[in-house]
Amino acid sequence: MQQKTLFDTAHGVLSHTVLDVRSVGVTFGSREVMRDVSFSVTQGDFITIVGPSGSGKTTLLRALAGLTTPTTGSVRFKDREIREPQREVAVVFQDYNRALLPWRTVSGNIALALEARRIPRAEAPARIAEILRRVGLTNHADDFPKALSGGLQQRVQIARALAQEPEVLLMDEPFGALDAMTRQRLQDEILEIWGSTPTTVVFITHDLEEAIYLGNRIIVLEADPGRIGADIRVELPRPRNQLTTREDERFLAIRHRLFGLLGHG
Amino acid sequence: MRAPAAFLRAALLPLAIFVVWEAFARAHALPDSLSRPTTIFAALGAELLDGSLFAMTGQTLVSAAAGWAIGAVLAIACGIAVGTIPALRATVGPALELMRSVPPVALIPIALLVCGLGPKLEISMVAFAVFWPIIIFTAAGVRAIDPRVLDVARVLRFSPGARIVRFVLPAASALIAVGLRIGAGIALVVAVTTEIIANPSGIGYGIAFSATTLRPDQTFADLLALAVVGFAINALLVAGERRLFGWARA
Repeated sequence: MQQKTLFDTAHGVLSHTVLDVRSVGVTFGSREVMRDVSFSVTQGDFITIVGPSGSGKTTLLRALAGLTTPTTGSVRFKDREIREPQREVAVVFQDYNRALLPWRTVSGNIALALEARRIPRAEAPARIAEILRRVGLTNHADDFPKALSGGLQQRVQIARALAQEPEVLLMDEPFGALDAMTRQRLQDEILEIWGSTPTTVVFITHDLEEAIYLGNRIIVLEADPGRIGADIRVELPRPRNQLTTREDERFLAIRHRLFGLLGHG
Repeated sequence: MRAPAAFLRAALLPLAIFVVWEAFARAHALPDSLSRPTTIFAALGAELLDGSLFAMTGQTLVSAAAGWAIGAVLAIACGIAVGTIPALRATVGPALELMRSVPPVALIPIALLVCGLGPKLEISMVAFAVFWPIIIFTAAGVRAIDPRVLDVARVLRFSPGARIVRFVLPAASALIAVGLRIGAGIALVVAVTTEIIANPSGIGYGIAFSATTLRPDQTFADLLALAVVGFAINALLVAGERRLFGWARA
């Protein structure tokens, strides 16, 4: 699994830029939320973004998603400037209980992404069944979101994002509200999904260890206003393992560095 | 409690009232204009047998339903517009509040001038009256939609029309249904009132006519029938809401 180790973008085998953030600044009224943020994301990469509250993590993700237009600078998806959401870019929000439609079943919520793509109705059931199987929700196809645990609800949202067949998956602290056990399981599942598809992932979190565990590269944001503090490459072998990866001395070294950067230590 | 037991318990109060009422009437402790249960039930039986009760109730229900449907369609459309467009809400909101304060029945004379006697009068009265609760509940439902749901709609790139059909309407539907149910109760009230005051048809006219022709037994029989119809409509709508909006409850 996680075959991407074979052509890890760190070695430049696939080096097409999918997202290009150019001197992005965001100001809401008189409040400067983000200043001069620039970075680019290579196709197939897994980037994590960490930062304290007030560092504009969510604002940055909304700009990448086309939900917020930067006040200055620009965000590009391939050769297009992002001014509105792009078909190839899917978003998983933190608050799964608000992002799922309570009047639609699990299948119905996933079908939404197919309807958006105008997939013929006749094709939908087979595709939904396949996605349900991939995220382990087959037994919950006809349940309403409210009947599911937080972890299962977040799986539904991930499934809906996958049904969009995105090139880029943007995730805004997706596991922040889940308990530790569920969070670890979903971390491994998202790595598995990423490893078995050509998807690029941009993953926002406030959990430093999660950032190291998942990413190929960590972008550290500083607060007031949000700006890039560091851009760290994670040279940890894949597949990652909840025990051994977290005990790896390179993991611990990055953890030390992040703690220093974010003022915890 | 099992259903038969619950039914018996619910029947206790009306039964007690009928018994006391009958006793007082027989003891000549009540004016004759109040009739008495046995006579009333006899009149009810007669009206059921000759079909007049069904004809009258049918006329009323058709007018009430037509007015309710017209009012509902208009109110839901306006409610969505007012709920989604803040500028529109700010502009027409106060005027709507003012119009809403007019008791619908006070419009009967004007409606009579415009529509004349007949079903048109009754239907427009009902449509006007049910418009208000339904527009208010619709607008409230639309405004209560979670901004995150709209984010999802935008990320999936649905057109504005598709957003209304797939996101806004379903999100507001549980509240719209409450508005529709309250509107249905009002529809019956306004239809019967219009019949009593102006429009000579339906069960409202039956009530007014039997009272003026000194047949209080028929009046009470019609009232009884009206109570049953109103109760049944409400129960039906409540059951429908339960079935359709199970997802809205925890």
